[in-house]
Amino acid sequence: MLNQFSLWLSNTAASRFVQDKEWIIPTLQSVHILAIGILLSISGLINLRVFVKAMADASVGDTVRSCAPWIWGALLVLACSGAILIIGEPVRELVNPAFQLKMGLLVLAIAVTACVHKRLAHVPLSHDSAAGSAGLRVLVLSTFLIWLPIAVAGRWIAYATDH
Amino acid sequence: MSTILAWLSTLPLSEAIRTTGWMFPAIETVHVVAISLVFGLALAMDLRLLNLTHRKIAAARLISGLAPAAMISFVVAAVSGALMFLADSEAYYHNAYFRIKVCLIGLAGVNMVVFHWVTCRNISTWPARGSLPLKAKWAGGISCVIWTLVVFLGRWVGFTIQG
Repeated sequence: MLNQFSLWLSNTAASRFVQDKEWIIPTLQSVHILAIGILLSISGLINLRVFVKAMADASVGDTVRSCAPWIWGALLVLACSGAILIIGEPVRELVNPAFQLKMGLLVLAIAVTACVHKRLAHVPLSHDSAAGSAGLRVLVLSTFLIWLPIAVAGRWIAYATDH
Repeated sequence: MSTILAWLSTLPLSEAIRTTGWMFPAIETVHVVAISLVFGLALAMDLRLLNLTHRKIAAARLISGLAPAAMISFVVAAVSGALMFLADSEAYYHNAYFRIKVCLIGLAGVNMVVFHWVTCRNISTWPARGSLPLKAKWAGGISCVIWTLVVFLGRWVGFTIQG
């Protein structure tokens, strides 16, 4: 089913357009890596704030809130560049176990990130007691531990394909 | 130079990276994750210097919080990059994108040294919040552009290397 869909997609005009222009895939892969870099680093920054108490001028809630536009913006760029990459190389991506693992982890990463933001949404500015809770610390650490294998799986797509 | 490159390719480590199926993909994956972290962490610091984000955290505190992680990521990227170079040193050496990438990394190093030793000399007088001196903004802007280009060029090396 997925195989047939991939083959069908690879023969569409949109897919052929992406395949025919040699610069599109390397450019989109670069943009995709930049977006992953932003997501990994923001997650790292929030972890440093929570666990090492680095950059303590701003509260944890304040730090997370100021990162929110960058997180959701980078996710949007990641999704758009990823979608065009799938259209361009559907057989390489959709039936690839590394891609499927990456997608599963991505859903998890978005859910955990949304949980972190929801928990801190109503914490007053400069008030860190809720931000110090064990539950939140687990969630914050989880985001980094999920983004890391997402990046690894993303690169592994190139090697886990039979095509 | 060609003698050195030929000698490098005869090293047992070079041969192992070239011939074992898993070593090059593993090293490349580490390289991509590390360079994406270097980019993301540098971007967070650069955007603070440009006063575009994390305005509530003093620039000096943000830099001292993130710079060690960025340096560790850079060392991992450099070591993994050197191992990838060993695998096919002649092909990398003659690749124009690779050469430009190495020059830009050198330029990023110069920018960082100038920032650390010259621009930061009176960092204690910088305002904790708000806009920073023009020379700090220049350092942030230059770094931002360089690391974005490094990621793009790295991907183009992957697509153009003639092994």
